[in-house]
Amino acid sequence: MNSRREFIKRAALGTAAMSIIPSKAFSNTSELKQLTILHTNDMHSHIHPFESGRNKGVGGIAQRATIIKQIRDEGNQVLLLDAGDIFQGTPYFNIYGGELEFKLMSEMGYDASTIGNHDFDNGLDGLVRQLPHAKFPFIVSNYDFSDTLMDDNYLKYKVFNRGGIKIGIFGIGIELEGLVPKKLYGNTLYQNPIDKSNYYSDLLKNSLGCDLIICLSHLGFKYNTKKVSDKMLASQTKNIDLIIGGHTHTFLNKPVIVENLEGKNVQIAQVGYAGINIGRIDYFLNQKMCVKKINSTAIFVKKKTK
Amino acid sequence: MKLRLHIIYITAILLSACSTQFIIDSKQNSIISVSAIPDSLITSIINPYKTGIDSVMNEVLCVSEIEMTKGRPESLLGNFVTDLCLEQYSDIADICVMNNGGLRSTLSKGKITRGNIYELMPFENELVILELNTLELFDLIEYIFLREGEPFSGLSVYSIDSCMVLSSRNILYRQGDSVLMSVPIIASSCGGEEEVYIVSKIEETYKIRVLTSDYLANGGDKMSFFNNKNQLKVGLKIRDAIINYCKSEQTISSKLDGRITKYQNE
Repeated sequence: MNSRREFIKRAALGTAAMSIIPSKAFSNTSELKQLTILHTNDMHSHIHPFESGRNKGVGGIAQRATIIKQIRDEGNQVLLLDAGDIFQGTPYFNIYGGELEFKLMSEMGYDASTIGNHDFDNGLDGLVRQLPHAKFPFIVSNYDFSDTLMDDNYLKYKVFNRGGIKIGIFGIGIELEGLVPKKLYGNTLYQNPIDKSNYYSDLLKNSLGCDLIICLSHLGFKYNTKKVSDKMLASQTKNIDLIIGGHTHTFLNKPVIVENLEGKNVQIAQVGYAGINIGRIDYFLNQKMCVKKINSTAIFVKKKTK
Repeated sequence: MKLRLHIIYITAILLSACSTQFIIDSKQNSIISVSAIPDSLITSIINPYKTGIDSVMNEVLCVSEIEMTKGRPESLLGNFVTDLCLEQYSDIADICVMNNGGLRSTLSKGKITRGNIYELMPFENELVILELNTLELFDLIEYIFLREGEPFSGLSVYSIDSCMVLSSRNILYRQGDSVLMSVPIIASSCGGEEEVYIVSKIEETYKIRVLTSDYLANGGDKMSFFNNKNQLKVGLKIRDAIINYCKSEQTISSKLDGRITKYQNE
């Protein structure tokens, strides 16, 4: 048994070296439906691969686009998601205000993003001004924007249908006070992440009948204080299957598993920052839409050198 | 092993609908590295923007003798930025405080371009000066220790357990409007030592002028000792302060000098 597992593992690694389709090697039952979740976070206006330092030659949005296309070409159902802080970090943001970031994400086929604290860096008007360039929705469930310019420009949740699989997505933003200057977030109201998560995950699961519930979170992975984090959110809620996190720039080489209020497993994923990595999580569901298997792959994006 | 599998199987059948209690096999996680060529469509969208960026950002401002990274308790980058800011305003400020989180990239050894400084300090934050009394200064130092270090310039601090001491390496306190004097050593909560007396003695008359960013002065990173203070705007963004310094110096460097130390009692 063990030696066989070792064999499969080695065979899978061999496949990984040649292509980026390690999940196929595990797919022994053809009746299972496969859903591929791809995720990024904290890309911080990084357009090009790093030119120096320890990340030299790593990242790059055009390189990421190539890899995402290759994954789409595998023919599985794909959801491409981001956990916020798209803005701020290179002169592209200082000069163009996020226009290019949104255009590129739209071209790459991003399905949704949540809003990070740095997405407020040019104020609510700065964010709203760039929204026409984004052909994907911003989902955040615990910011009340009703008294701001963002009202009508965001979603509390969204249900995606991918090959008959219903995926419910909601978003959770971080507390803005003390983090973002008040003049930038204006009358945005921050609401309790745990309450809102329980409310929207229940709505998505039990009222709207979603098969998978994903939370796009910009809370941060974990803290040594009582500050609410993805780990805390996972343990104090029900119905969430996967938290795609950001903010702390944490690179998790595989999703961390936390028990929720009902003792069920919640996966927390986060892939560093600046587009150095793409997170990939493959769900395999049976005909009754029950999850039977999950594979994860952390993909380091590298510039091809001639 | 077989028995366990049977139990899992039976349990799975007994649960009516989907249970999310699937079995996650840790062997089904992998890390791979993929070398990719740039997507041509994406590149064509980027190119006109890149031309605009490059025309401004490729200007070489100076050369760095070393690589500077941020970090705690002190760092080459944190010392570099706070020292240069304080230097530009040493006539109207006593110390400078920034936040580690606000330094957004590393400065490489070698040529430093305008673009590199934008990546280090992408924010539009401006320099402001506000005044703290001695007790508020201790709150600031305590905060820095709680955070295990934040960039600062203009003083040295050390702590032994709950006892916190500032030494006066560079710090100058004003007396009245014009007279500057150096205080040899001041201490807080050290329990009955002579230094405590000095704190209470200077508390009423001395103000420490702190150069910082408007982000921190307005409540960023919860530096509560800055709450409700009058802010003097010096009229310069932090990024421009760094750019000005680099252009004037041509060659830049930094060093760790033990400005913050925590001693453990044996």
